Amino acid sequence: MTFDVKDKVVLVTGAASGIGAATARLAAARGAKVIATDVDGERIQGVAADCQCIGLKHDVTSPEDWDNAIAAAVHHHGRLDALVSNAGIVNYEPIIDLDLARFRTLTQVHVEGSFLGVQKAVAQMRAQARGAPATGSIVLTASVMANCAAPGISAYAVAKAAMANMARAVGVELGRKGDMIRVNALCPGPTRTPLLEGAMPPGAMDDPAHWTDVPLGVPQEPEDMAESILFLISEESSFMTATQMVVDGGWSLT
Amino acid sequence: MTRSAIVTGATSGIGRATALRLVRAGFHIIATGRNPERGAETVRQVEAAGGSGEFHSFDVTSESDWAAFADAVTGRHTSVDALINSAGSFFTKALPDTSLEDFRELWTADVESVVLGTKYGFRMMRDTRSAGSIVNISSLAGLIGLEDCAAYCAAKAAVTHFSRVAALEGAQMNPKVRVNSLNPGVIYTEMITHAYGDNDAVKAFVMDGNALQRVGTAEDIASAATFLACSASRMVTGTAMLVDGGRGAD
Repeated sequence: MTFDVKDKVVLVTGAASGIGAATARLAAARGAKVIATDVDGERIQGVAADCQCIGLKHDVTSPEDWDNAIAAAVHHHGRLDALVSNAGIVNYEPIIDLDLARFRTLTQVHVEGSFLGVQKAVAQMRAQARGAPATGSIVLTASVMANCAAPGISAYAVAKAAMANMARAVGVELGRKGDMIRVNALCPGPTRTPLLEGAMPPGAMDDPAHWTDVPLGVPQEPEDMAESILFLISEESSFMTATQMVVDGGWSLT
Repeated sequence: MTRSAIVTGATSGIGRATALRLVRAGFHIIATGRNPERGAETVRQVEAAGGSGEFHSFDVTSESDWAAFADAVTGRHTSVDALINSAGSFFTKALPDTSLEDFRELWTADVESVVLGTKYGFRMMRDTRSAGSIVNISSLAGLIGLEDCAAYCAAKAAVTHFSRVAALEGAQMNPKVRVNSLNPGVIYTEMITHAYGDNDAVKAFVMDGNALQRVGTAEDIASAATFLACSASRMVTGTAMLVDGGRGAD
C-alpha cells in the first residue's frame, strides 16, 4: 500500500516542526534511517527522540553545517539516499516596507540553503556510487506561491519560485550528466504549520469560514505533505525528476 | 470493507499495469476494455497477484454503455473508491495529412471517453456515497508540443484542463471527490510501438528525450496512478502530475 522507503538514509532539514517534523516521523515510522536537522538545536532533539534518529543543529546557510549533517549520515549509516531541503521562514510584509536585510535573510535560507544542500548531497551521492551512475532523490519544499501570489508575501514567493525552478534546472542537469539523482519540488498549499499559524488569528485554522477558498475545504496537515515527500523519495517515483508536485486541496485552481 | 477501483483500458499498457499495482494497494479491480480475451488475461494476472477482479467489456466512447456499466457497478459494489480513465488512442501524422475524420476519431477516443468516464464516475461515487479519486491519464503532450501530433496534443491538453474543472465540481460533492490528471512522458507501451514500430531507433526516441536516460515504463505510471488513487494523496486535487523522466523540463 505505502510507497517503500525502508532503510533509505534520509536527511530532513527544518525538521523541528511542521512539514519537516512530520516527514521525519513518517519516514522513521516506515523504516527509513533519518537524520533530522534544524536551526533550533534544542527542539530538534525532541523530534529525534520520537523518531529514535539522529538530531542535529543545522543552519542551512552555513556550508560547514551542511558538511556536518552529511558527515553524520555517512558516519552513522554509510551513505545518503535522500535529501529533503525543507527549512524555511516566512515574512508577511508589503514590498514597500520590506527591508533589504530581511529580504536577503529570507532568500538566503530558502535559495542558498537549497543550493548548498543540492551541491553537497550530489557530491556525496556521486562519491558513494564509486564510478557507477549515482542514485538518490532530492526534494525541495517550495510552495504553491512559486506559481501564484497573495498580497504581502512577495519575498517568500520569489524565494519559493527560485526553489521550484532550481529543482527543474538541476533535475535536467543531473539526468543529462548521466546521474540517476532525481530532483523534484513539492509545492504545498496552506498547511497547518507554525509558520502559517503564526500569521493567522487564533482559532482561524479550524474555522471552516477561513477555508472557503480551498476546494477541499480544510487546512492541509503536515502529514499530507510528508506522504507526498515519501512518494518522491521512494523508488516508485523513479521516473519523476524536474517536476513540481502541487498538494494544495485545489487552492491554486481558481 | 474492500475498496474498489475501476480501470478503463485495462487490457494492455498503462491500464493493465495500473490494475496490477492497485491490487497491492488493496483494491478490488473492476477492469474495462473492448477485448474480452485480453480482459480475461488482466483478471487472471490480478488474481495471480493475490487480488480479486472482474472485467466489463464496453465502449468508453458510448454514453449508453457507460450508463449500463454504472448501473452494473453500483448494483454490485457498495463503494467506488477510484476510477482510472486510462483508455485512449494515439496517431502521428503531419497536419496537412490529417483529415477531419482522423481528428474527430482521436478526440472521441481521448477526450469524450474521459468526459463520459468522469461524469459517470461522479454518479457512481455519488450513488455509493464514496469519497473517491478520479485519475485521468493525459500526457506530457497536453502540456508541451510534439511534432506531427497536433490532434493528440490538443486532445490531451483538453483532458488536462477538463480535469482541473472537474476537480472544482468534485469538491462540491458530498463526500468530496478528487480529480487529477496524470501526464506521462513518452512511455514504452503498445500505443507507441503501434504508431512508431518497435525497434532500436524507437527505443532511442523513447529514451533520449528524457533527462533521466532510461525508458519510461507502464509500471512508472501505475505507481503514480496508485499514489493519486489512494489516501496518501488525500489533499491532492486539480493537479497535472507529470511523470516524464524530465523530458518536458528542458
